Amino acid sequence: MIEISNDLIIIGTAILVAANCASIGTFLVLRQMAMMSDAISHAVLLGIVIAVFMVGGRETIPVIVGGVLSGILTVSIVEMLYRSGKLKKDSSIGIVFPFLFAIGVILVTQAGNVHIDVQHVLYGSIEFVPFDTLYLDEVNIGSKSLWVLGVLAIANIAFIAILYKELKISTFDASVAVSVGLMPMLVHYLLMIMVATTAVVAFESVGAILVIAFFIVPASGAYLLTERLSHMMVLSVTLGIISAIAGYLFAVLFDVSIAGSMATISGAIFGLIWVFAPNRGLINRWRRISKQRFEIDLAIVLTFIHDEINANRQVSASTLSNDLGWTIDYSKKLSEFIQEKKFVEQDVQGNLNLTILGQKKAKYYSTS
Amino acid sequence: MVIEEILVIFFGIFTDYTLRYVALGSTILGVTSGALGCFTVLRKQSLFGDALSHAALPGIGFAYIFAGTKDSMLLMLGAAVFAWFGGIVTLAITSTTRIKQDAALGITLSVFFGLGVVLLTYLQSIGGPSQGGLDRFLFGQASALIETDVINLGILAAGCFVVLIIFFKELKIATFDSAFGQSMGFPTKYLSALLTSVIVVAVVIGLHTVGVVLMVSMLIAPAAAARQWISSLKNMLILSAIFGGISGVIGSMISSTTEGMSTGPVIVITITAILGISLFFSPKNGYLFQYLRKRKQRQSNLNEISTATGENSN
Amino acid sequence: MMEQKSVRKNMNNEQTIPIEIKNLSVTYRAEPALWNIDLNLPEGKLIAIVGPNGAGKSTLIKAVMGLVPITAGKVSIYGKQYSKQRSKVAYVPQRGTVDWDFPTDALDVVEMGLYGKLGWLRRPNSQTREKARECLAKVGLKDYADRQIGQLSGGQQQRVFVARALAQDPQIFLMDEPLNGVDAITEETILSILEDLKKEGKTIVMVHHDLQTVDKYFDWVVLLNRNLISAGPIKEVFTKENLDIAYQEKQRMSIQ
Repeated sequence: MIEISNDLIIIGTAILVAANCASIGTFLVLRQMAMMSDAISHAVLLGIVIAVFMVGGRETIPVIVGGVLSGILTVSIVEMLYRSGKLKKDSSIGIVFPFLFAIGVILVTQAGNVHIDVQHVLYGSIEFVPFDTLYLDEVNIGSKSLWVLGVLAIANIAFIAILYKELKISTFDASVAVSVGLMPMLVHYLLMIMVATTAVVAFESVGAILVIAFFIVPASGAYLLTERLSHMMVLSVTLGIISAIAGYLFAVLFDVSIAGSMATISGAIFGLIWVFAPNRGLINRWRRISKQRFEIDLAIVLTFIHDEINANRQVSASTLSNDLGWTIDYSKKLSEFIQEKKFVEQDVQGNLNLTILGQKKAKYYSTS
Repeated sequence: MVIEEILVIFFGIFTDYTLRYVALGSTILGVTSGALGCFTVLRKQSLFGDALSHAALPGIGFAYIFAGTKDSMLLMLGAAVFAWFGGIVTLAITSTTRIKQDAALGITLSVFFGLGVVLLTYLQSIGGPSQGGLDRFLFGQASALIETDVINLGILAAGCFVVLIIFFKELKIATFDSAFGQSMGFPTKYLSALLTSVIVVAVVIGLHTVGVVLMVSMLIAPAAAARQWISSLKNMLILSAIFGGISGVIGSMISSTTEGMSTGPVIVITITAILGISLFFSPKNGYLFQYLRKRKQRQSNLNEISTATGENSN
Repeated sequence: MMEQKSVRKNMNNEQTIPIEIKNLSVTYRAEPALWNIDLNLPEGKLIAIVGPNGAGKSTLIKAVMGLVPITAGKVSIYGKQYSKQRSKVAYVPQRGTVDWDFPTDALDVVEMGLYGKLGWLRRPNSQTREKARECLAKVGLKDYADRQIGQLSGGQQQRVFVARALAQDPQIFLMDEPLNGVDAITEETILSILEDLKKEGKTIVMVHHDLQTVDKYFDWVVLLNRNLISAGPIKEVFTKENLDIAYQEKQRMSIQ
């Protein structure tokens, strides 16, 4: 068999987890179901533990089935609670998942033979992934996690490829989806099943909470970079993979939790995008807003002068501050600017009059 | 047998030194988070508490690294600073980008938690406090509480209640009708910040008993349970505090007398059970009464239909 | 009588105009909501603010109270800044802006109107309770004092809001669509209360959406569509031409 080094298996696992989570995460972010994925990724623990109890070992298929069932159970209970009108949606989420998770944790700690460490429930044990190998007819066919995640990746790609149109329409407008004969509820539950499956599989390597980082953070970063769904998905996966690789290197360098540092790095990358993104970043947003504010104030001044002159009143630069409630400095700056731009002329008495250009501009503003 | 055991444990509160502090600490948390949680639920910020508690974790790590002590006040300060910071980051994301609140909460809670885990494992790798030291904040470990911890928690909780009592009227109006409150001159923005601050304090207290992961339940479940019975804000706060306190006592008793049970999960299961009972049996809108009412109505509908058809056939 | 006299005397005195709006512009981000509004509202009148959706009607009354940031211009209440005149103004927000599942009863909501006068630290007491009860009785909900607000009908909820404003005992009422979707009894009750208030010299400004009833209910009208189209007594201002301008303008804008 091909020998792959342990490092490569870990990085490969991380990349597959990131790609799986980040692609599905795109829809979670757009459909405003990020916290539902939080709930699901906690709740799968209960299903996993019960499956382990029943089968007597951590067999892949029963664990996935158990986890997915408890994920669906979570979604159903949450929806039942808030549909009944007794609780709001976010309260329902915040009650159901801690409860199921708490039961899971107690079962884990009470039953010695489950072989799940409580901490690893939270932040995974990707370090041990290489030691878990898969046997086919007693032949070692390589890392189990790579196989499982690989199959999941194919399932996820198939899911998104087949239902792309349905996902897209129901994400952006559920009512349109209904009217063109697509079933948003069916799509919703299929998506939840994929989220639960991904969460269970990723659970072992990154744990309950850090799986959320891979679901939400790269997709949110991508959301700030592009307008198109397909681009957003590609970007989200890319960002997830970069976080995984950089996180692994960081963890090895400082001898810290691998999953923890992957989440931290993904947060740092998100932070960079938040600040520097070309259109939606903080810096450009701030620039755009201050520019807009100036333009609006300019429009207000011209409209004001236009309206005053129409009402046969005179406007002078010195009273502008009082009339518009702005500081003296700012009003002066603006009145100088509009004179410089030849929107306004000052006559000998100090009164402001609109030029033809200024009149055009003022009319444009007052109708738009 | 079981009852006997429970009684022994219960009387242990008065006789057993450790048990007393465990019970006290958990009660303090339950009462505080129960009362304050009402506001998070009513302001539809239920999951905000989840983000706050996860964001507190790196604060504990930093306090350990920089102060190098296990002084509980310092740890709590670190936790509080980071919880606050996490809250601000969440609000900043939603107010400056098109990312919605749910994703912003997810970002904060997972990234801060990841950072916390990095710091905890870093501490372990440099030979800092062992597993038992910091891990207890993940699911809480009330049995590790000592006298000074309990006194500190008590002071913090008392602070929260003083704020709550002094500003009750203002917090109420800022929660119910913020624009109207503002029109009367109450600075509702600052009141919201004040409320967030006391919730941060409740979260910090909760780190000791339920831990960061399950804290959200302590804020929501008692309030949601109280809301099923009560229809005035003041009484809702009181009942919610009582529910929180009861679950704190029961949970910490069970966990400190049973081998290998973290406090957090047990308390959370207790309070959720109380909520479940409330949802079923509340006289006004419990599932049970709804069901009975529906059946009665169906019966009377049937009667009407049968009489109506009877008339028609005539 | 005294009130009536002072109203007349005030007509020519600029300082005692209840609401004076000068060159007011409000923008949300880059989007203008109100554009260079110049408007003086007279005392002792029932005034409707009318205009299409998105015309800035609610924004106008919020801007008067400083609830939205003002981009340019000034608002004064009886010649002074709003922050100094809070006790003279009562705000009735749109019913949909609050959560009616909130754990409180009708009396308690009305009592909230007195929080402003109580100020910080002081608590509601038997006096405020009594006053709230009176105001609740005025809107015909005497028997509903202990009723959960969620269990009141839409019209009753609206009347609770009006009672809360009455409890504030103001000179000026700023109301955001209080007649929207209410039952006939509520509409009648609210209007008769407002008529009485008008006789006491109070000024009532109401965002109103139903064009059919404007000339029946109001003395004065403000036609708004981001710009001020026209404002004045119903007979002079509420004309087909003005309405056409107000409502047609919007269509042109939405096409752009």
